[in-house]
Amino acid sequence: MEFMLSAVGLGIYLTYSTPQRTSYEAFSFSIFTILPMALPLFAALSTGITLAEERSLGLLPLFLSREVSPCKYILGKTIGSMMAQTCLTLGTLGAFLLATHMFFPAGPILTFGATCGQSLALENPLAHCMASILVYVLAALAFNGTALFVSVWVSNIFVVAATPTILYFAAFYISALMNSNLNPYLYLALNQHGPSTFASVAVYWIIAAVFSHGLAVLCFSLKKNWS
Amino acid sequence: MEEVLKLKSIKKAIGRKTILKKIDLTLEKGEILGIIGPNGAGKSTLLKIISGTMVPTAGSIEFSDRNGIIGIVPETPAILPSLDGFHNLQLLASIRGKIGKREIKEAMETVGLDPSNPKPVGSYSLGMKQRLMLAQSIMEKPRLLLLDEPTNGLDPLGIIDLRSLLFDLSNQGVAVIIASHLLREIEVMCHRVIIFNDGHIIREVNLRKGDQEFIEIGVSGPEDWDTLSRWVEANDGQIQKLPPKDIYKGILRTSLSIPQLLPHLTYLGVRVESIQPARANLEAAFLESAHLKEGAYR
Repeated sequence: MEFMLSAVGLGIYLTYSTPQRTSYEAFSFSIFTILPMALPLFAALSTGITLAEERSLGLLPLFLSREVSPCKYILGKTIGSMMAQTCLTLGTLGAFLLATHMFFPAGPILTFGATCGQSLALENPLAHCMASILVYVLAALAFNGTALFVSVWVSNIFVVAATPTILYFAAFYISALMNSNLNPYLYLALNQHGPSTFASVAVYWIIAAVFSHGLAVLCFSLKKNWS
Repeated sequence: MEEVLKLKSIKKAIGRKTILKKIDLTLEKGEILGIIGPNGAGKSTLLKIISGTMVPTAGSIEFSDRNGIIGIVPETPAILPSLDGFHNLQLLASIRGKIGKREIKEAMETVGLDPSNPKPVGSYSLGMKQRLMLAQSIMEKPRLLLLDEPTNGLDPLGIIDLRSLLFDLSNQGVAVIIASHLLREIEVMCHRVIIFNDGHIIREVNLRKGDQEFIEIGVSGPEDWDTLSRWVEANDGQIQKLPPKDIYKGILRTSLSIPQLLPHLTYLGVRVESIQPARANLEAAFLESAHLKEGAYR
């Protein structure tokens, strides 16, 4: 799905003019255009709903009666879903980066790179693309953690899948109203209004990922009813 | 008898609502205990607390064997619909890692399922899913089995199979707790029944054969009832009056059989109108116990 949407981004890229079409630029344009809108939903749908799925199937009592402590269970679920999400996002975007080489030659990113990595876009476009992938992996982890956190209380898969997107857009709207620098959209679109360095973007998403997963583990472990 | 489970003053409150109010209960090895009660009485909550799916607000749960395995059959079948029956059980067995394919197949065959059936469990009937749940609960040879509405979706043959399976397990020393709405089934399957209402045990009925007799007895008038009650008390028995108030009928718990009892009653001058074994009268005991607020059964 992520791959297909990125491919759509590639189609849109062809409608824009740029001094030199390169595979790295095509990649950057495609992911920065489409994925900031779709990533929360993809991350939640792919791995974030695993806890809600098992809860709605009624499997938790069967696991917990087999001497699996709630803490061990949620830790396993968290680590498993984080690893799966990392592999999925890394794999999809990595494959997409490779795929762009089939259509365009390698070269610098002249127009559509991340504003926070302009020099890197010109001098080392591959490193720029890798940094962008890393940002998206970290952001996907944060959305995965949000979905897990919601699953602690909600077992409805649709609600769990939709919540990270709803929270993301709510944060986007509120941040825009308050003119806040913490707007999550700016940390994914990486445009001229966004943060100034890749490091600050990475720190933002690492904090969000650690906080959401940590909260999910803590709240699930402290619950009194897991049925 | 060896105790398998001991519950001491278990309480459970969710928010302001108290679901369980000071439950004390013991379960012996090989005993089949039935829990009956109206909807919302706290039966399932008690099973969840014993199985570790819910934490009690107060009280303690003691298992005689710390490593004793608990098998549970939840109220609704919990399965991965895309996998076949065997692989569903294999997945669950992999958590403890104590049994292999042979034991899983044996458990499936015991409950009447074909381990080689490749159909995904999602296409199973409710009865087959329930059989699969039974298989997962017994496959690891538990010492305590908790069944929440186990007859849900089972056909008559399935219910008979379940009954015979439970008796076999009981003979092997497995203690069983069954929560159900089906009084007749509870009556046939269980050694002892507790009647639950409003979060506490309001009555306990012992159904073990050869232990004590339960006799439903009706007498002519209040004097006969008083005489009977005094004699029962003096002879270590118990008598519980059944409604309505103006009919003198009750359940008598005694060590005597009906032929042994009748000469005593004749000697006392008690005018007996009806007398019959009360094993089949769990329903009456339940109705009497469930008679709640404002004259309505709940």
